[in-house]
Amino acid sequence: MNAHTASWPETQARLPAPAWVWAKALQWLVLSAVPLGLLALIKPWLLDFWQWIFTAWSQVLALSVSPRLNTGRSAIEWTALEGGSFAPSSTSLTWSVVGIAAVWLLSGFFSDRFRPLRTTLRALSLIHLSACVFFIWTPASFPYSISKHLQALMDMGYGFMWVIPPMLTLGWGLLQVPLYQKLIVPCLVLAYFALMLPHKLLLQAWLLEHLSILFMPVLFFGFGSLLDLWIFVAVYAWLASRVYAPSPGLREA
Amino acid sequence: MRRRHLPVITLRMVIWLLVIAAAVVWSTLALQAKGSPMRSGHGIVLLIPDANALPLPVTRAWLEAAQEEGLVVTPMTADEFIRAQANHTAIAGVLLPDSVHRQASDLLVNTLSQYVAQGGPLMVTFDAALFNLQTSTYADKASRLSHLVGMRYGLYEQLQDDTIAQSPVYASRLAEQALRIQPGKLDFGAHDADDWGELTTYAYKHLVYSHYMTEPLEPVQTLLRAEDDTPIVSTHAHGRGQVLFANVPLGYLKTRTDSYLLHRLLAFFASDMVRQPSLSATPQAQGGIVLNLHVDSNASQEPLAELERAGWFDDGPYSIHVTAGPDAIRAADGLGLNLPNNLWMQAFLKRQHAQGHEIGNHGGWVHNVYGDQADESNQREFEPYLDRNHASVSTTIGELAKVYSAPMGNQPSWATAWLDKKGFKAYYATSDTGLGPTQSFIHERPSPHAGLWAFPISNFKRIATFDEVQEQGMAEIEITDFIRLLLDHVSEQHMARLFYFHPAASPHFEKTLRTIQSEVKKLKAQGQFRWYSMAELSDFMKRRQDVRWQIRGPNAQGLQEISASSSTSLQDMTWVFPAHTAQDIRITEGQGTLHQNKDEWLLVAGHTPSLKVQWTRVP
Repeated sequence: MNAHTASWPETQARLPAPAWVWAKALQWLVLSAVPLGLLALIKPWLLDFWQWIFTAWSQVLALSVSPRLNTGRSAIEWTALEGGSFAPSSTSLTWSVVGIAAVWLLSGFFSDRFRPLRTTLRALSLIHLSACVFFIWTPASFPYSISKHLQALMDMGYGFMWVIPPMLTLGWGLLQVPLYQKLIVPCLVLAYFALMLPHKLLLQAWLLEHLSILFMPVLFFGFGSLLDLWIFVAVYAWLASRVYAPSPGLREA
Repeated sequence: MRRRHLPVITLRMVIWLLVIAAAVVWSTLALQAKGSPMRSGHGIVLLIPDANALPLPVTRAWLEAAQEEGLVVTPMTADEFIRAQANHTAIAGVLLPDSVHRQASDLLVNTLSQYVAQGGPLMVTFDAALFNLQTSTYADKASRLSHLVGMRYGLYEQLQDDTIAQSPVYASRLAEQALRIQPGKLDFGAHDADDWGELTTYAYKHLVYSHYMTEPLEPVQTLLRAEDDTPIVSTHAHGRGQVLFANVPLGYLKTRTDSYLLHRLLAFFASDMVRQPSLSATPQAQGGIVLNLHVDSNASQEPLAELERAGWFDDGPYSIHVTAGPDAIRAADGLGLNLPNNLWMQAFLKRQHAQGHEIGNHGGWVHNVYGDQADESNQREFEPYLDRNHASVSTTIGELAKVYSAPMGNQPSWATAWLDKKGFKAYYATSDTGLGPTQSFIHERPSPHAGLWAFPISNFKRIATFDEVQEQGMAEIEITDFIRLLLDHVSEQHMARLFYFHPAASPHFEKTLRTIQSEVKKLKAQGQFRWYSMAELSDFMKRRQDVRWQIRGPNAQGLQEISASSSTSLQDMTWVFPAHTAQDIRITEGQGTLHQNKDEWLLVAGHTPSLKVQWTRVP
């Protein structure tokens, strides 16, 4: 990289190194603090909103899940699900094992181009197989219920939302984008997660109630925080791809 | 144009395919064996956490109580229960015991909830399922079963040290009827005027139980309550099912010689909530009394003679237990019967024995010395007292005595071992009051003497016999009424109970004795009563223990079946069907007779090693 291809403004590049670091750190702090402050400020309304979404969809989908805000309006709690946690029947277990075998075998036919998909499918199959083995031998020892599952996913999802602004500022925020975008985009990403998270949980609750809690491990490991992270990475990549690259060298890169 | 290559199936893939197919077939077969819906359903199950809980004393207490109440109860682990529910296998009723099943996963709790909502009867006991699996601490702010029992309890986070309280227990008049509590167990106050009667036992001023403090959630029907109105036993409808909540540690209490509530609640659950027939604890389901006479000293001799002259011994058989030594209250006081040298008493006992009365040992050689002084530490000193008494009584009647009662109810564990060693069949007991013949727990463990049956006394509030009436400031009429009610109760409920008295007190209770005679005469005329000896009932109970039986169904048409078998004979074994729950009862294999008795059907087995009976369950 030569001096002409540098993407940093000339004024910043000319600053002494410690001052530059301090300036960036301050920027990171301020740009992170704004969406985080907003997130903290609207938390009670956000939880109200999530509860409203849950309640509305629960009725439409006939779910037995029943969320309510705690007295301090600081968290959503799920009441014990009446008949909502079903252990898998012998038939479900058998079909699950058959399905795992089929996925494992069929993924063997994938070409190298689909190696990542094969790896992912097989990883999920192994998680599900371990769940099957567990439920065949000792179902009563399964320590989680749907309500605990949802509680954990919601706590982790909300926690992940707190990580999004600092991560965005660290990565995407360093790029050359206008300040107003640096402030608004993290808020929009947060808004996306605020909308996506309860619907993801609703979908999981619906699946668990209609299938059985046999699928809880695979949903937890494959479609819990990992999914949030994948979505964040995808959003980040999309945002980064839309940033104007000033140098021809970078544009071609 | 590029040619696409078809995928090649390698040998490795084929092997994989075969291995997975084999695994699928094996797991399918294994799962079907574990919980296939094609298997016949289960009867009442005792839900235990796992197989390790099976030998625990409290588990044994529950199973033995059920067996003695004539119920088919099988242990089922939490895993098996969850599998059965997942595969829609029918389960007639679920018992969730105290002490051995404190820890439970949310999945088990939810499965129980689902079971009840779908119409299953559930009995929840005290601390069952209160704790979580991992940490053995309270799983939630209130028991996760609170919505099932209709009240919040196990409120440790809120109440801390006040989570559990202690109180006497009171039963309503309704509960007295519903639970078929026997006369004398409840004290309804002076003149029987109170609406709630305190549960009593022999010799304790108050019977105090531990219970969880509760907060109401929904209306429940309270059968028993504490002093502060906390429900102790209640029923609550949930979904299409019913839940019986016992807020006392029933199994724990049975291992500590207080079995009454466990037995009564099990019987209530099976007959009224699960609506299952039971195997009667008496031959041909004929109710009766073991009348146990304790002949402590020579003060009894004249009253015995008077009773004989009055024709009292023409009825029976009674169980006459004798302390045979020359002394009674202290050494060398000369107040004992001195049986080896008492020709009149020898002749009397021989006469009664020949007439069919049962003659047994009352300790102990010297009544009060043995009763006051024998303890766990002095077997060497006092076992000879038992030997001498046994030799004297057995010599007199010409055969070995088989039944025993402890002077003053004092029975060290070595004395029980001695009885077993000498081939005794039964002994009178002041523990487990209100029960029929039972196999008592000793030192919190099942009795190691499986051949011995304990015959608990029937307490009248805090006393058990004539001599104590005056001590408690009672009138004769009170105990007279009690005995009359007890006779009626055992007749109606097809049960056998023990009542004992000292013949020396009989001159002061002539009216009571006459009442007994007249009431028994009336009941006998109706074919509703008979006297039992301890040995006869012990033999019957032992034979009853050998009966293997199970209930199948109901199927889609409501058809149910009992199949029973015994290595010897089912003769006189009797199944009692509540009439409103069964119709079209018919014997399909073996011999037996069926007759209706008030609102019940009685099925009496004949001399047959196996029996099959079908009936249609009334919805």
